[in-house]
Amino acid sequence: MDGESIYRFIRESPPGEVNQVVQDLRELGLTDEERIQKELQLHHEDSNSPVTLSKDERVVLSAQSKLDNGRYYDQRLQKSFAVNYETMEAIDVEDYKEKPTISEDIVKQIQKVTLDHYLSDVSIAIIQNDVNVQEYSIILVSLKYNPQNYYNGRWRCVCKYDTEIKKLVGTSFIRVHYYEDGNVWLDAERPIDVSVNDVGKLSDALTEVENANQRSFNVELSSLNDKKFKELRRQLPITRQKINWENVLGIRMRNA
Amino acid sequence: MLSEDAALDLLRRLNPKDISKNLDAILAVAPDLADVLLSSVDQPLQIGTCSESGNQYLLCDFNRDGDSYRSPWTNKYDPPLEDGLVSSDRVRKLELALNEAMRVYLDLYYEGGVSSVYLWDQDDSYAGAVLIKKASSSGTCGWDSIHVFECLPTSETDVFDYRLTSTIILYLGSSDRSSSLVSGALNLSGHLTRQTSQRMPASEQDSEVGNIGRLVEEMETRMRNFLQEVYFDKTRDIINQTRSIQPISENPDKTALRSVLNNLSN
Repeated sequence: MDGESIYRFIRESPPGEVNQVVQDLRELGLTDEERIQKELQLHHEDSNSPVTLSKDERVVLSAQSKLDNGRYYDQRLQKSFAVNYETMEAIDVEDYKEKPTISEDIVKQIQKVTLDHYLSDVSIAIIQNDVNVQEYSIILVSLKYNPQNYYNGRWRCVCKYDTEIKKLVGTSFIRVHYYEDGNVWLDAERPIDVSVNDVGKLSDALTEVENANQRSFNVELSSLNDKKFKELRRQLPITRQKINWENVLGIRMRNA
Repeated sequence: MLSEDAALDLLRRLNPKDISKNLDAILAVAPDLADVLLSSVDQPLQIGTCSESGNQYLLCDFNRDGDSYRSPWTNKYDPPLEDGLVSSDRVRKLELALNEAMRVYLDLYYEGGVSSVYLWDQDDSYAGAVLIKKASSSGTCGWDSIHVFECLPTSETDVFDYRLTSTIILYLGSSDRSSSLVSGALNLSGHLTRQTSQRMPASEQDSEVGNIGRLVEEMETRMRNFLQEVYFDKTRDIINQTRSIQPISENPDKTALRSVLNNLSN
C-alpha cells in the first residue's frame, strides 16, 4: 500500500537529517509510530550512527551489534543499551559480558588509524561476530555536520579483519549532501582488500588502503569535472566569445 | 500551508536521483498537493517526438494540457485535443522565433541535445519557459536547464522587466545512473536554483528575442560556474573535513586531535 512505502524516506535520509524527515512525514499525516521506529532503527544501522554512551565515550549502531527489544551492545566497552533517537544518547545502559573483551592490540591499532587520519566527530566499533572465529568487524565513522551552512558529510569505513587468513576486506563509503538553493548528493564507494600479516601491521594496512581510496576518489572527482562535465556544456562557444544575439537572428533568417 | 512545506522539504533532502519516484509516493498520500507540487518541483525533462514534423521536443508542465503535450513545431497537441490551450498569435510568433534562436544557442554551447521554448499569454504581457536537455553519449551523465521567466511591462514605454528563475538539474556518474552503486563508482546527482531580473528595452520582436536570449545565456554562465564550485570543490572540501590523507600529527591544528583523544578514552 502506498501509505506504507513512503516510510522508506526515513531509512533513505541523508546523514544528519533523519529527524527533519520524520517531522516532515508527521506533517503529512503519517503517524504510524511503530513503523517510524522501525525505519529509524534501520536508518541508523545502515548509517552506523554514533550514540553517546557517556561524557567521554561514544558507540556505533550496526546490524551486527543488535540485540532484542531494540537494544544494542558495544563489545569493546562491554556495555548494552537502548537508544533515545531524538538525542542519540544511550539509555538503560547495562554491563554486557556475553562476548569476550577485544584484545588491546587490535584496539590500539584502530585507535592509531583514527588519531592519525580521522577528523571531525569520529566513532569506532569493533565486534567479534562469532566468538569461535577470529574475525572482527571494524566500523569507523567520521561525520561533518554543518546544517547552518546547508551541508552534511560522512566518511564510513566498514571492514572485516580475519586474523587467521590474515585479510582485511571491506569498503570505504563516502557521502555528501549539500542543500543551499538546491539539492546535491555525492555518493562514492571504494573497496578494501589487503593482506595483514600480523596485528601489529593492521594500522598501516588500513591507513594505506584508505589513503589510496581517498586519492582515487579525488582523481575520479577531478576527472568527472574535466571530462564529463565539460562534454555536457561548453563554458563558451568555439568562437571563445559570448553570442552576438544580432547574428543569431541573422542565422535564423538565412535558415528560414 | 504546512503540508506543502513538508513535501518540498522532503524533496530537498532525499536523493535527487529518486525525485520522480519520491514525488509519486508523496502524491499518493497527499493528492491535494498535486497541482502545486507538479508545477513547482523540477524533474528531469522527457523527450517527445512530434508526430507531424518528426522532430523532438521537450515535455513539461508548461506545454501540457491534461495528458497531451503541445509540439512547439506545429503548435498542435499530441494526442490531439479539440480545444487545447494555445497562446495568442503574437505570442506564438515570438515563440517560434525564440525556438529557432535557442536552437542556435544549443548548437554553440551544447553541440547536441534538445531545446524547446514555450510561451503563454499573461495579463498585460507574456511568460515562458526555455528548456534544454543534453545527455552524455554513455547516458550516465545529463544536464537539464529549466528557465522560467516573466516579461512584465513597466511605467516606461517599451521597457520591460524580465524576471527569471532558473534550475539546472545535473547528474554525473561513473556508473549507470539507475543501478545501485558498484564498488569503485562515484555518483553526483542534484540541482541548483537561482533567480535574477533585468529591465531591458524592446520595441520589436527581434529585440525581445535578444533580451531573453541574453538573460538565459548570462544566467547559464553564472550557474555553470556555481555548479562546478558546488559539485567538485565544495564536496571535496567537505570530505577533507572528515578524513585526512596527511597524518593529523603533521597538521598544526591540534583541536581535531584533542577531540579524537577525548572520544577514545575508556
